[in-house]
Amino acid sequence: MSWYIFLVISHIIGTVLGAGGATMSDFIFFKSIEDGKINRTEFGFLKMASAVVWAGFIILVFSGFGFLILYRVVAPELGLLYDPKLWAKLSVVGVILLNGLVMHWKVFPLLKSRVDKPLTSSEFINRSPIVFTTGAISIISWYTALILGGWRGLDLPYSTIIGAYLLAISGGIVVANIFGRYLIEKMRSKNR
Amino acid sequence: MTSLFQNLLIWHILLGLGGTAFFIAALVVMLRDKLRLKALKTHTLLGAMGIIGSWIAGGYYYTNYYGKAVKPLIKASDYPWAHKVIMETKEHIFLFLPILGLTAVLTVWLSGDLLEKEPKLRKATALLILTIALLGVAIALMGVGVSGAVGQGV
Repeated sequence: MSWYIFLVISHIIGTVLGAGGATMSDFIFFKSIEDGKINRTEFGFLKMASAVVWAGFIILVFSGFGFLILYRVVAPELGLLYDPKLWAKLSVVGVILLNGLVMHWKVFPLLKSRVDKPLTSSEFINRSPIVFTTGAISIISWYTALILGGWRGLDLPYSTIIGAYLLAISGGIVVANIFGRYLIEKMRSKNR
Repeated sequence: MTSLFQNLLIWHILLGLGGTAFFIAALVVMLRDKLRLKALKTHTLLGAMGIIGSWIAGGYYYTNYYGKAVKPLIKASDYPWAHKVIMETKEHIFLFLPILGLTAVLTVWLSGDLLEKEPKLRKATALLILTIALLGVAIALMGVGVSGAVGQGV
């Protein structure tokens, strides 16, 4: 197996774990809060999904820099490192990293503090936008990375790709917050 | 490029990336409610080792190969600023990154339990680790920028 094939496979595995982990994480979260609270097992599953996403992220970044080494050392004349798609992917990966850090800083401690407690409390409702927002950013960013990686021959300027990405992120945040608030309101009316 | 310089460049990238990844992992540990001191010590130590290793490999490559063989290519390309701006910035940040890394290691290893008891110390250490992680990411991106310019100059 050549280094190139090894890197392609690793890159695909990293993206699949990241996108798959982010999808599962959102799915588990919305499924978990259906009964109005998150129990210890559900929180454990969320943490497990987060670990899978981090593993995917690390594999993705290292295999990505493996490509950098390959292009720089073996074939610098290809000039692929100034491809706008590559810089768009790097930007998306940067957003994934920052969003992941915010999740560990704000979201997981918040969810941990609400384990086995009703999510309809005003304390959680006030702080819930960060949960829905980071969830939306995570899943949209991972699928953007997946699409950019898979879309051979995509020839658009950096600003167009990032503009479309930011538009998708903005729409995702709005939808996630509306849907999340709807679920909380549904839980509240059920508890009344 | 001889295999020695190829290897030095590869190790420079891998160790730098590994070092940055360990400092990001250390940052994740710092952000959690309960501080896992053992993990924090391991992450910062491995992170600093990675950065110092990258510094040595990159330093030797830079002083013995880059100036003679790579710099002229970049300057002759359409992107001479990749050396004048990016590489010069990268070079200067890279000079103090190992010092910051060692400071983080010493703070974590010598403070021990104090990190849990003193919120101000914990916050300051977290900020130091965040700075190292951000500079590591920035330097990695600058490296991609410089390498890209080499491709344009070939």
